[in-house]
Amino acid sequence: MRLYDSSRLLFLLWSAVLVLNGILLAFIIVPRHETMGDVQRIFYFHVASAWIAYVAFGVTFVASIVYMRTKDFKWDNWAVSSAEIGVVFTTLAILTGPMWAKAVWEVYWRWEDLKLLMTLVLWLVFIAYLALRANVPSRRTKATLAAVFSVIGMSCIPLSFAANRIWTQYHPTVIASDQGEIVTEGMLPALIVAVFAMTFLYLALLLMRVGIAQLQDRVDELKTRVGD
Amino acid sequence: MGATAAIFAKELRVEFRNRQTIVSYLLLAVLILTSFRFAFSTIGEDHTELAAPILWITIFFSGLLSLTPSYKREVDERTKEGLLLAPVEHQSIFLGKLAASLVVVFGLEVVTLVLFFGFFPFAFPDGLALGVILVLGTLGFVILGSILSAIAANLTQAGVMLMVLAIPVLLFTVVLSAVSATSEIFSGGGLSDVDSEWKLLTVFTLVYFAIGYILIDYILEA
Amino acid sequence: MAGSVLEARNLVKSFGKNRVLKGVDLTILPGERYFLFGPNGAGKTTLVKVLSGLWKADSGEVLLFGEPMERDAEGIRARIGVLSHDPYLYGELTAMENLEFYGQLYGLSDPRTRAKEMLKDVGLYARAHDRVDTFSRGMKQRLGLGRALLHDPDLVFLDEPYTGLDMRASTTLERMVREKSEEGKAFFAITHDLGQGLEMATRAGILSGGKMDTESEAGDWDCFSKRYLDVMGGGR
Repeated sequence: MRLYDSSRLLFLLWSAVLVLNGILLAFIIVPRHETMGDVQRIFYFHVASAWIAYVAFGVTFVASIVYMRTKDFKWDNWAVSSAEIGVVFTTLAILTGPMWAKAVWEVYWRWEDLKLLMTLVLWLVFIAYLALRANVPSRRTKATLAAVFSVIGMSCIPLSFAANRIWTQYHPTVIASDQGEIVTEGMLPALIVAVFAMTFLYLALLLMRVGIAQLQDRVDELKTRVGD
Repeated sequence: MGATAAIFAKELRVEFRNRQTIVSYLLLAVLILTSFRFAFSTIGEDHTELAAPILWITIFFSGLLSLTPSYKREVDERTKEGLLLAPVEHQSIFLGKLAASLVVVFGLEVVTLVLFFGFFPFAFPDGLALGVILVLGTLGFVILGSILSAIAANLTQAGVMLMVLAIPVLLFTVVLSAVSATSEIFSGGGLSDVDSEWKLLTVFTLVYFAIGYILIDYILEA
Repeated sequence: MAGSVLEARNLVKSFGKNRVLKGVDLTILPGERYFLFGPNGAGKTTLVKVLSGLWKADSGEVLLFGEPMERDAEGIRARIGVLSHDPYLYGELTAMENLEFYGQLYGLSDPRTRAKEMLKDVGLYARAHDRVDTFSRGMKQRLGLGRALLHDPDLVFLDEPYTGLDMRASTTLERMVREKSEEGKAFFAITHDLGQGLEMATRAGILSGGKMDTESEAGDWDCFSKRYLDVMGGGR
């Protein structure tokens, strides 16, 4: 099991190509947006990052459940890897959001927007998950407790979405200057490429991180054997 | 069943003689309420819109922190193994401890309410509505807190970790519903006005009760 | 082996990078008093925890009363007693309350009466209504023993039972162990006190470096003691 084996390299290569492509499209080829201006360009990466953040959490959730059933550390490695990378993408989404929002909505953050709040919750859950792992010394205990928590965290997401109705009572959506059309025809290719690019980037990083975790487990196993 | 009842009784007995939970809760509640009182004393008289947040922040923080000893105590006193060696299902341990925590926290909430209305000049609202929301909200966070207490008992910094794990999960579910409903109630609303909220709280409670019941095996065996 | 109370085969258990048990085999029959000796860190306490079902071995199997733990965890647990280094007692509760509680957990039909009997048996009846956190170490160990034997288990694990015991507690322990084993109950004890251990044992073993080094029967104690000194002295 080599860290830089051919399939991982391929992913890395593809993601590099796509990211570059995405940047090209987003920053150069796509025409300037009518209402929003150049700032619109970051929107592509923002949306893509946010989408990947949710996918990453989904992966952590599924891997956690499989780990609980099989007790195979491989699945725990997938769970933690996806969580670590997921935090990064979520942070990216939260940082790029306000950049775009300030220009378009004239505020950095809108408390009335459910999507923003959910991404914030997701970010907090990821961080809590990683904090939990950091506070357990034993490998097996860490994996089991983290898996349980990821189920707990995942279960609050749909419930939080359901809370939207309550939330909007107190923060009615402002029909402000923003709309018009957010997504125009010309933007579609850039958006699609950006999503693909981020997806491949996520996968490339995920595979590498899982590889590292598996190697770490292998090293620990060998150390145990040598200690006899 | 017998085991659950035995554990429930044991928990209450130990708690009333040891008073870890009770003292830490009351201390924290008084400190938080006092802080709020001082913090807002500069603002002026009637700010009913602050009632709900103040009440619930107090209840959540005092309540959550006070749930830490529930499982941690067994680890510290080295009685956890005694429980695991006995022929009882893990679910019985979960239910017994949960029931005991609910009794204690509900009791302490009554005290908190008294203090709350004592410290602040808010008019007493619709009792039934407030009661329902308090009960449902408390059920929600105590159930979650109980599960997380079992997890946190294995972690360094158990008390802090319990908060770190609980708050993201509670934020847009229990905290949101409880505070917004209570706000509505303090503004003169009744039970029918807080429909969505109490329904969400009920769903939360049921979902997490199920999660706790199913996953307690994994947590205790970790 | 038919009729065995405990059978362990090739138990392996690691903690992180430390392989503590490296393939332990053990059989215990009813009525036996098996004492295990060995240097510190040899894995004796780990072995007890694995055998009593508290921890799972990484590989190998444990059969209790002919069954693996998973098949009937509750049934098996009801027939096992453990006296560990920690007495598993609640300091805030009285001696009586502690025993009654465990009686209820073990499904005894009349926990209160049984608790009273046991308190008399271990000589703590006079302190029945005192909180356990007022007890001395010896008293706690005696109560712990009472707790371990309360449900009349067929197999009892004793982990360093003599530690911190006063004379009275030691005598009580030995009396009860002999009585029970005559009834057909089996005992598995860990201790580092060779003399005391061999006096009580019907069989003895040495655990060294994560494996069983020697096993002997009563009557063979001279040979055994020599081996013990060898192992403890560092030889292998």
